Amino acid sequence: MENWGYIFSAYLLAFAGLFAYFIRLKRRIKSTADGEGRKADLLKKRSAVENPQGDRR
Amino acid sequence: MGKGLGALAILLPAFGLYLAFFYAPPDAIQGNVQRIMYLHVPSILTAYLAFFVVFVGSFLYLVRRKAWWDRLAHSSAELGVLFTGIAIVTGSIWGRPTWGVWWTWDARLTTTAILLVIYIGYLMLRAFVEDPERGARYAAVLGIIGFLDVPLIHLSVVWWRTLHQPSSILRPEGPSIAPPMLFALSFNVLAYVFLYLYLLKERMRLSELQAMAREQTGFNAIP
Repeated sequence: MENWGYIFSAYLLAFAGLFAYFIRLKRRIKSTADGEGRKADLLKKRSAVENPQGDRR
Repeated sequence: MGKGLGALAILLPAFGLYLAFFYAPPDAIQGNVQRIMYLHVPSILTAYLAFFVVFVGSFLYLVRRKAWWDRLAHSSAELGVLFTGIAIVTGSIWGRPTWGVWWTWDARLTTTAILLVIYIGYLMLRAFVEDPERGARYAAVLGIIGFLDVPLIHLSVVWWRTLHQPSSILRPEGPSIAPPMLFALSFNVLAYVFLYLYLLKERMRLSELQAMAREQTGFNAIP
């Protein structure tokens, strides 16, 4: 009995797990980096609204 | 360097698959189902490496108090859990046709399950303690103590009578398996180490971005 079902199940599950982790990691990196970019833009906009002439102190 | 490492992390495991299925001969007793070994053993050895990195990172964080060591330990712990999970699942699938059971409370399986629980606890501790510095300190202590389970797992098959076979490679008398099998297995171990290193690099990047976000907002926001 060759048990190919067990063999392929083991490999498929392992690679599916690795792939899912990799995709989730990439998404977490992107969303964190986007959050950083958005925050920098908002800070720039807020600074422009609060101090339109620039800081002259 | 990053792209080269990424390419190696794909190409080496792909060639490892070729070796596992087309180069290595079937086992004389178990037949083809033994080919799960080329996935199961590299996964657990990579997990050992990951937890060793957690141990070193945690120790150096406690000594030097540099956040980089904590980020290294945290990132490596997550990968260690992933690779231990893969080793347990593939081991369970291998166990069903060879032992007749999916799971048994054998010494090696139990100590490996404890290892998984310890490092899931480590990740939960990181997530639940609100002050990141305090969380890092607590986790570092757990990361050091948790690693003690790794030699226990390795020696469990020597110390106790177990269903799990004894070590075939890491033993004082030298490897006990046929040379083509040993080559395929060693290559797969190397391939998984490269995969781990690539994922570790990416996970560290995420940790650095999260640390930057925390510094700016003052919140422990983890997406």
